[in-house]
Amino acid sequence: MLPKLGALLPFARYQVEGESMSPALSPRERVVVNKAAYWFSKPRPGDLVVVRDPRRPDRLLIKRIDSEAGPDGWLVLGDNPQSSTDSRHFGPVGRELIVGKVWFRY
Amino acid sequence: MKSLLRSSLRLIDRLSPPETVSAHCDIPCGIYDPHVAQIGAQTVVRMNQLISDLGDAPGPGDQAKSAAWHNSLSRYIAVKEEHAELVKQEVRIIWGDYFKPEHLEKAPDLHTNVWNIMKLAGKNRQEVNMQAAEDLLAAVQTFAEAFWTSKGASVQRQPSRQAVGGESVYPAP
Repeated sequence: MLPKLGALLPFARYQVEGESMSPALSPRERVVVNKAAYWFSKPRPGDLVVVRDPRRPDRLLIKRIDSEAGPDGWLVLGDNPQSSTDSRHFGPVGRELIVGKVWFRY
Repeated sequence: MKSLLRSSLRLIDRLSPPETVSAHCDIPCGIYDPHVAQIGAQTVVRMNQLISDLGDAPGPGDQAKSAAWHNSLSRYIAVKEEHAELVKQEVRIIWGDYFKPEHLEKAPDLHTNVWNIMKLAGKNRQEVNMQAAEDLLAAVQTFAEAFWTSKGASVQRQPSRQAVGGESVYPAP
């Protein structure tokens, strides 16, 4: 019941797994993501975002927007490049793969 | 206010856990080897041999002997469990991460082979059964051959030179 209801809401809860965003986000930390953040504005460099892995869209990643790449693509990078799988591996991510912007931690 | 929000969200999390977002590295390092699975299957065969060699439980008269017998049996069972599970894990990783659809042309029975390995490994955990252990080893060796063949290597079987006896599959030099 709850997950179905949650899908309708403009925000979602996630739990971070892995080290690629530390110290900004530590493993097991939980965040609320604003899914409406980019309805009326574009992602900006520095934004923390949840994106779908373009190679495996069922997998969610948390990364930082690096720069705009082309009309509708953005490069996303982990804060710790040596322990991150990101746009260096899978290229720019399209708007449709960006789930939302990290709003706050809890 | 902030802590009220936090505790409410934590409460919701308990009812419906948040999805995980991955901030880790999955380096596709491309290093796979079915040898660990083969050693796992050989270990399962070996544990069946040792359990069989153990013979009947000593009578209740000699407590020290009885304790030693039960201790050995428990250890053989524990190692059999562990290695049957290791086989499943190793084979799953190679099957899921390494094999690509194009490999199936050369190994059309791969999925059935993997399925058999999962079933046989489960059977070997449940039972003391030498036939099932030998079947598991044979299935894992078929898997190892499919793996090396997919890399263009030819495969050779050599005496295992292990206490378990039998053969091991290696890529030809």
